[in-house]
Amino acid sequence: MMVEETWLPQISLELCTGCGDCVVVCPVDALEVIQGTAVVTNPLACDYCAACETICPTEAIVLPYQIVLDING
Amino acid sequence: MSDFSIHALLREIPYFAHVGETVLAALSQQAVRRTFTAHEILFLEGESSAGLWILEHGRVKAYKLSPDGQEYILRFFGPGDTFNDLAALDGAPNPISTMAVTEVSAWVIQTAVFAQALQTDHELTLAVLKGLVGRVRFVVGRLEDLALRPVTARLARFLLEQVENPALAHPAITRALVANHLATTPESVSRSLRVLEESGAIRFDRHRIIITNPDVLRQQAQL
Repeated sequence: MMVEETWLPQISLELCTGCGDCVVVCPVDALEVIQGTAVVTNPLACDYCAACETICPTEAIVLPYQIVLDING
Repeated sequence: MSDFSIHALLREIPYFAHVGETVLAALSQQAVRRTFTAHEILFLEGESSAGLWILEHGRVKAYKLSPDGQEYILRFFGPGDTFNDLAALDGAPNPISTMAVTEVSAWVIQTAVFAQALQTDHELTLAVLKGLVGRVRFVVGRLEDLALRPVTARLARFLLEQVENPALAHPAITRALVANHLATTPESVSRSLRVLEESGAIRFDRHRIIITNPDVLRQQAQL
């Protein structure tokens, strides 16, 4: 299974300080800090809980969403 | 792109749908094509206006910045939309800033060229008047939203707009982007999304926000 890159947490290299809060809070160990920057190293595990986005103190992580209409959904 | 294709593009836009062939041909010949990469600025508020912009491809956001740099998104534009109409008409500086959200190609009709066409073609003048009335109604609606509706209602309305007008829909919405659009905070957006989810109007499926009950969403939007 592939996870389209668009639909993974987007991490700003400029804003990320590498503090590691997101790594600690991620319930599925999808993130690591590599060379001072948070990286999604296990994209298949990411279930989009938004814990990383919420905890990030510099607003470096954002989760993009797609809005769709599905009345049978 | 050839003159023929800008000619065809203009004909599809409400402003130019009933314009005479001579005027349309002149506009097509004098329109200038511009291309931008994602996140590139098209023009800034306060700068001299280049003229009337017509979006051929991609998405553009119109925004204003507060004195402390906070961005407030006014709206998104999609293919076939015109923008910066006001500055194109009065020749005053741009009232807004615009940025490419995706790769963008757009056409610019200079203010003087547009003014000449307005003087020549009665149908164009009427269409522009009608378009401006639509813009005024939109602004009044936004004022009403900000002054009278809580964040949850504004968010519900935003979600409805996204699915009811796919041309304007943003390809990838973030809480921060929605917060800027609604003049609130990402935390408030998160709280309101939970309210909408609990109401049964939407549900989350990983990266999808699925509108499952538009009627309930309209009730939440106070429409």
